[in-house]
Amino acid sequence: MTNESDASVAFVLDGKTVVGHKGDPIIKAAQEAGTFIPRFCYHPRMKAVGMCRMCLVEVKGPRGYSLQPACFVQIAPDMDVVTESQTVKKAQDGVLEYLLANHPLDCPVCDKGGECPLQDQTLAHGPGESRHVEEKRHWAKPIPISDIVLLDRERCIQCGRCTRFASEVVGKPLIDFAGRGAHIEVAPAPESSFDTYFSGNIIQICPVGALTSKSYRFKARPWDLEQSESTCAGCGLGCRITVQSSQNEMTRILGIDSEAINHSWLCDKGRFGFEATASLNRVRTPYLRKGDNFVEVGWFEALTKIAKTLSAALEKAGPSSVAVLGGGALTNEDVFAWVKLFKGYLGVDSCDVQLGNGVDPRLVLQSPIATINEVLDSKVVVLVDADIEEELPVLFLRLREAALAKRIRMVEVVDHLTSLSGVAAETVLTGGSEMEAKLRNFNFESFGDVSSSGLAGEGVVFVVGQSNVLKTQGARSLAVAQLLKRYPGAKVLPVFAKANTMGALRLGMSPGLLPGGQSIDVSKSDLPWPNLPKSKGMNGLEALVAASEQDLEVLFLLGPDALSEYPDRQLVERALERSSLVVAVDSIFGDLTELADVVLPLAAFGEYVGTFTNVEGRIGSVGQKLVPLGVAQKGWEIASAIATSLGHDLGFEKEEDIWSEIVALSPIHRGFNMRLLSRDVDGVVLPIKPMKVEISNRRLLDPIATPGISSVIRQAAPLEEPETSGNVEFAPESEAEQGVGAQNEGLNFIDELLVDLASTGVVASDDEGLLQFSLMRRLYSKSQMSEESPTLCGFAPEPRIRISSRTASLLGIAQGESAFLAREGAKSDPMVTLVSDSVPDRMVVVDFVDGFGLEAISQLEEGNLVKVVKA
Amino acid sequence: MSRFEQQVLAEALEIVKLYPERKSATIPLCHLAQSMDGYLAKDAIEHIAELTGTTSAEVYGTASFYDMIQLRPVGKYVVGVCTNIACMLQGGYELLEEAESTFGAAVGETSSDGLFTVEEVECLATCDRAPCLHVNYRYFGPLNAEGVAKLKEDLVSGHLSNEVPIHGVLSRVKRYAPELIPMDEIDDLRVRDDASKAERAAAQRSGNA
Amino acid sequence: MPKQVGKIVLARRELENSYELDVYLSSGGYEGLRKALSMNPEEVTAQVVESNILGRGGAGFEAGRKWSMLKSATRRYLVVNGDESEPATFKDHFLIENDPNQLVEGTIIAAYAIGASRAFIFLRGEFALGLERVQEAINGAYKIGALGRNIFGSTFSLDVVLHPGAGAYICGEETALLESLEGKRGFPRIKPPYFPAVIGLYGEPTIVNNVETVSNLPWIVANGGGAFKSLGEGRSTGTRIFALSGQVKNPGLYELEMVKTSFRDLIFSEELGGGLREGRTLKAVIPGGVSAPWITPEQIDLPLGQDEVAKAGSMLGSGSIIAMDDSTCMVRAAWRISRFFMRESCGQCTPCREGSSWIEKVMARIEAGSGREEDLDLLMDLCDNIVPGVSWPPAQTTICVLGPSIPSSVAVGIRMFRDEFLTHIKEGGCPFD
Repeated sequence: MTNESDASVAFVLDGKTVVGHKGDPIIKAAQEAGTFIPRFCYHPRMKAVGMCRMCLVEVKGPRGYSLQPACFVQIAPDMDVVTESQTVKKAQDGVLEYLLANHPLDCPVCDKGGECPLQDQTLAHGPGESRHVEEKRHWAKPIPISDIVLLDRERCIQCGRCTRFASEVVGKPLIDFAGRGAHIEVAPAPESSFDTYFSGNIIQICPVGALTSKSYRFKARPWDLEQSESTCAGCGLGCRITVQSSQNEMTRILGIDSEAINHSWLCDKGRFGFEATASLNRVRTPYLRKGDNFVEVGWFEALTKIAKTLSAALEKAGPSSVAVLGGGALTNEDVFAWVKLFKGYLGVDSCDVQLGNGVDPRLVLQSPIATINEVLDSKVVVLVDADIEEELPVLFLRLREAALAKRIRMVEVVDHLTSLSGVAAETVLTGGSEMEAKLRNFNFESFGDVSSSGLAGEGVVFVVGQSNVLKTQGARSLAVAQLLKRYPGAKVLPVFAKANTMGALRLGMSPGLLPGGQSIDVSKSDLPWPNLPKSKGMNGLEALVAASEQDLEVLFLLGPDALSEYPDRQLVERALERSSLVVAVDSIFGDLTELADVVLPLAAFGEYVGTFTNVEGRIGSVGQKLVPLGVAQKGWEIASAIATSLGHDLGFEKEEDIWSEIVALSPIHRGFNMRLLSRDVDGVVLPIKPMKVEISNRRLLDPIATPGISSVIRQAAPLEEPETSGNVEFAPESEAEQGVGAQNEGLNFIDELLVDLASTGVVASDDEGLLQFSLMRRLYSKSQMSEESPTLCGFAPEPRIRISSRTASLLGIAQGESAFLAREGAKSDPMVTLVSDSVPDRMVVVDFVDGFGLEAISQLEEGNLVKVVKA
Repeated sequence: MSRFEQQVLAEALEIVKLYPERKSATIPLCHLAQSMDGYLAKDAIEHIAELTGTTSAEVYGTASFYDMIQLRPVGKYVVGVCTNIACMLQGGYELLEEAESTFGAAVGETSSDGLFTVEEVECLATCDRAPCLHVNYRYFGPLNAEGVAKLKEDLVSGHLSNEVPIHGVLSRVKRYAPELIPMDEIDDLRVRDDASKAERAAAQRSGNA
Repeated sequence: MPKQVGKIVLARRELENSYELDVYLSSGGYEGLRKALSMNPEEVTAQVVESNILGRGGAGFEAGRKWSMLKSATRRYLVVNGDESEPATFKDHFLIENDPNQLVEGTIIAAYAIGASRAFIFLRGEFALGLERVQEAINGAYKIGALGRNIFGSTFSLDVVLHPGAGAYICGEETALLESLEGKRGFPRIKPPYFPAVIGLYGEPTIVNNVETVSNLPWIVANGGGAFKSLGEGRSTGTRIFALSGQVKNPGLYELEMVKTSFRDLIFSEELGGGLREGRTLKAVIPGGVSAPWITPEQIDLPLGQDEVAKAGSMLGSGSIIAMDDSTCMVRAAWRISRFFMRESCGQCTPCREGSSWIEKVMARIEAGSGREEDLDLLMDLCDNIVPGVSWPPAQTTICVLGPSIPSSVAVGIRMFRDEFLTHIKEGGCPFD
């Protein structure tokens, strides 16, 4: 027998022998064998509890057949299961009737009507008429259990999916059952609420209409909804979602159960951030600054203005007088068009998707990147400056689950305790320059067998976070490069807050780089583009500094949130004010567009089709549901239009044209084509390895696990029926550059990096009153997705000053007191102090929320020490 | 009030120590809270959550499951009248009516003087004295109308103040014992005993053979 | 003529201040433990196995066999179940208040036999006096060296912790009790796999024994399992406390040799129940707590034995017997019992949560005179949806056995007294009002 059959179990299902996977419950094995057993409380991503009793089937035991919950009982060899007997039918009908006894008959006004597992199963199996003539249970109608979620206890069928999600998946049991018997209810503690980043999931998994969101409530009926699969734009993780819309308006986003990524979960930012697309502050037409005023203009006028100024600048001061910043939230198609325009036609190399904080692109492009599932299958996960719940929320859920199940061991190296610290094997609390020093000598051997076979560090993944917004690219990259030097077998997972920073880096949106990570130095001859950069341009930070010193003529800001990552507001504002022309390509007006000279209306999420590349290098399709607002255009269309107005032709008519060129030019993308996306439902990880790739069949969607998710249409590519399930061979044309082995050889870049970055380092002060300063990234900030979504606006936290108890007593500041940061005579707005040993001594950690009162302090960067002064 | 203070907090911490997992102390601490307030106040819920390493929602969820944990203020005396089968057969419902009128409170309510809260309860395991009731979990029965009147009189006059304690069934339960023995110590000893026994048995077997 | 034995668990019944340690020690207290400690744990277990004492909580499983099913593990617990809440059951309440030292001694013996890492005595929260007295007994045991390190100079060490419940019938179910002891809502666990002897308290193997069972252990060890087994008959060995209540002259606790006495003797014998009130005749008997199906006056010659009652289609359960005379409305009796289950259903699984509440509403309606004829079929079918076939022994659609207890009074009441139900419906009210 092979290993494979060891994991299979043959059992008898309704008289026929079928094979299932060892450890699977009957309900799952039967479904895979084509027998659907009704259920309510069972959810494939949570532990079974056998509470609703809907899935009772007969299982033969030593004393004959007995009714057992199919969700709870695991299949065993030769187990005899009956799902079709009269006894089973009677029991299931009985349970259904009991569930309906106290369930209100308000289906016509219930949000779940039309996609309700209770309604559907009642129609399929239920009694025609109710025998329950008694008064039904009454509860006060919907009560808010959080700022997002409403609970209608009359509709609740006590399946416990929501309470289990809170305790089991999130680890925050902020709701629980209360009461007993027929009066059992789901409840938060008195006067408190279900505050987590993941509250929307309980709406998604509720099998009835008991949990609804304030925003979706009464908004649409399921049968009016159109749906398509897409990729979440909320962060770099790229959760698989379905976007549902009605009458050219997006109404709802549901998480798709993607094995590779999000296991059906979403964070609230991802679930409700789409509402920003309908913001009243949308840019509907081009705008031009005329004097002190912004005036609406047509595309032609705006483009003419841009072309004129840009040509003049290029002619007068050359390509180094132009810079392009942002683009991390644009699609791959968009980014490629912008890169082609600036690097291929205008010779402009000062293009940067990062702003000096981030991570060195060489690390991202040349290190072996771990897939998310590889992270979760590794031996040791080292989280460097990563606060995963704030940065990639759904990955937090998966890491937590794996750590609790003891599948992985996590080591955190962070400047504040995180929500994963409780399950981490070790948390090294360190900040500023000391973080790099500590990492240099840190041994991971003690946490697992990381070097016994092959390369040292095999089975180790370094998750390179960006929790401290102030940490410089150099410091962060040096730390990781040193680790990779010692553990050449390790892999890296970079963390990006934006949906497509990874894709943008791979397509050359970084100084010195061209698509596919090719350097502008060596590939001049390779690329058929007419006017490649002659020398390496400025990075984001250098460009801002140059602009602020009036050394820059034209600055392009590629939104959304082109500069939201950058904390030094003084520098940003000076840069924008002192550039001759600032072109903001954005979908929503914000404080930065106010400072622009031209604003070009960009299609918003839901209005464009395309792809994002997530942190693991996976290309996922982005679906279009809406017609762009006003005369807004997609990013690549705007780039093409600018090219045209300059007398060039990018040669793109549709997204496919762009992909043809990407695949032809970029070694990383070789072998990819859009059809793969309609086959490999979770997206395609690049580079494609020269090996057989498991192609999943059509996505199995579970409408009872996620009511409302049936019949998802995948966009992004001509839909072809998969020929068969099974293995399809992909042989990328160029194999040399690809594959793990090749990449390990490529680790020579580490030495290069170590030399380049050697001077990076921060001097600590002997004065204990001078503190290292860290700005801690939070999920909700002043970004468009947070602030322009009615559901989420206002969730951005009030920034607080966090100092250790030792620091606090040294400074004479007590918990809850007001204090401000001071540096070189400037001081911040006052903030509340949180005294907590979740931060190291001699350090101050403040929440990073744009425009939070630090404007007065300039040159905010790691190493510039600050004082904390009692207000 | 409501949060545990000083002496009660010390008692609470002793209780927490009795369990391998802190959460186990939830219900005893709810009883302790009731000895302060008569009911489980919101602040007490939060304090219990802190002491047991759980959330307020969990403490509330657990507390609300149990009949003895009051989630609203109650009178000085909670009177619970049994109407279950053994008492019903002997006039439990008549006793309940009598109690409601004598104590001046309908079921679930508190008399206007704040002295009595009347409840209808399930079997009190005092069936040989049916029909019976409890006052702060001290049992009285069999009772008739005169008996209830006399009981009220005695309670109001303080004649029963020794017999009927304040709220919280742990108010008179005090543990006097040495610190708990670490379970590892007990387990180690047993494992060693078992091993030496197995050794002896093996030696015996080979000796016999 | 039946005789009240009362010589084992209720032996100290007549002693003044029987709950005091001095009284206990001067009446043979802690002899059993001393003897147990002179034996090895396996030998103690062997005595209990030989005694064949059936668990006194209600299910009636052999206690010795239960111990031997304990999964081998370094960490293991003993939990004594003193959450006596089955209506009309009041034996444990008495033992707890009046012989708490016997309970503590039995607990230590059981812990020694199974090698417990720690023992918990879970008492029903409502037993306020019992909590005080058992804690006193535990304190006393520490004082005389029967608890703590090196008990009575042996190598055996143990701590016993008293844990109060807070009022929920379901916590008498052993897995719900463990959940409760872990500080949670008393939701029963699904068996399999959550048999306490395999996965119990904090996930460790755990033995849960009833108060009366444990209280018998000092005697069994002191006198030998054989002596216990010589009492009673067949599988029902020893004596047992029967709690008699209802409309009898002498309700109370009677410790009787099992099987040797019949229901008739218990209810009607002058030394025991003393018969019904003047002029009344027997209408029905609940033989083992309200979870047990009723038996008819024709069946009362059944002996008080576990298997004997089971064969007749009911159960001896917790050993509490309720006699109902002809002045009792059977609809009202069945309704009150259904109301109890409605109030005590934990709410975890659908058939019990919804079934108990629906059934109670229909029963209340019939008793109040608003019944319909079809309600009887409806009730039977609602019972059927909890206990498929309304069979005995019951199958169940629920997680725990509280479910199958619901039909015991309702379905059996309808079967036995259909005419009385119909009278309520036809007359639009209760004929007994």
